Amino acid sequence: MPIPWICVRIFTFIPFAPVMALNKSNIISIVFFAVSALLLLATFYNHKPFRDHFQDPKKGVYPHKGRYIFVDLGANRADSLEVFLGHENSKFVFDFPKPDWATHEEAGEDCTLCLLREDL
Amino acid sequence: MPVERGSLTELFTDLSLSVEIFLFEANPTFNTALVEAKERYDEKGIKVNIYPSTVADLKDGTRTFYLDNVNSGNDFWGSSTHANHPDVVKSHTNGTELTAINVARWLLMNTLPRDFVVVKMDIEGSEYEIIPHMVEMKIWTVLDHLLVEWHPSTLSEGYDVEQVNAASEILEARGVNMPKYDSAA
Repeated sequence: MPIPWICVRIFTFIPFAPVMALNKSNIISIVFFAVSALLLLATFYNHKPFRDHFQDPKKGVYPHKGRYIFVDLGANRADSLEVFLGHENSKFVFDFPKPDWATHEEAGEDCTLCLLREDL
Repeated sequence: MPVERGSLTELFTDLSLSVEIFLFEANPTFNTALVEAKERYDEKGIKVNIYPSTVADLKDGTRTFYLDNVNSGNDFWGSSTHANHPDVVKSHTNGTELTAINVARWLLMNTLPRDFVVVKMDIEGSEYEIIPHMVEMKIWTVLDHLLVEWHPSTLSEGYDVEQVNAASEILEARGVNMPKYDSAA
């Protein structure tokens, strides 16, 4: 495997760096190490900073958003569900609470909802 | 069923968001309607989990449920766990044993603190028992919004309104939002 090999090369190279002359093999090792390090760092880079943490003042901070859950106790024939989903012909109208990230207006290329979609 | 622009239905079907819906209903009269609703929304990619003939309760087990057979125009709204409910008395029913679920425990088992949890409660007076129990179970760990349709006419069943008021205050102090809710039903 290249990674363990390069680690051996690095650890054997570093103590002797001041006295070793730069040769082609060492230069290649250095370049390979630098590229590997950059690639490794790139996996940690987060271009979705607001996905790092989801902060709920009541529940604390969590590493990622959860599910949107609706529990209907006393559902009858599921007519409250139609209200929840905003159907035109529902029995009544009520604006059920929804999380900030579940709004149609936020749908688009760079948005929270798209990030959720990527996770599905 | 038409899908409105900007409605949550369109939102959930267009973007395949992971919304989970759980419907609990004790009255066996609505079993078919619940199954049909589940099938209808499943075709649209919306996950609906149903608990038909299931009583929202303080503990797991069974509970006697009394049917209202007289209010057909109002979806038999008198059906409940109260044998002395006027509509139950008029219906001359003996009651039937149904599965009961400890709702607070169920919520703690099936939701996570990071979830956005909305519970709507329209349970014909049982809210006066269940809400204090929710406080005992520290339900604020997982519950974000609790919408209760209150049934003060059932207070004659011996419920302690002071206890439930105190419980509601504790839930709100702990971060559970309890807005006013009243359905047309």
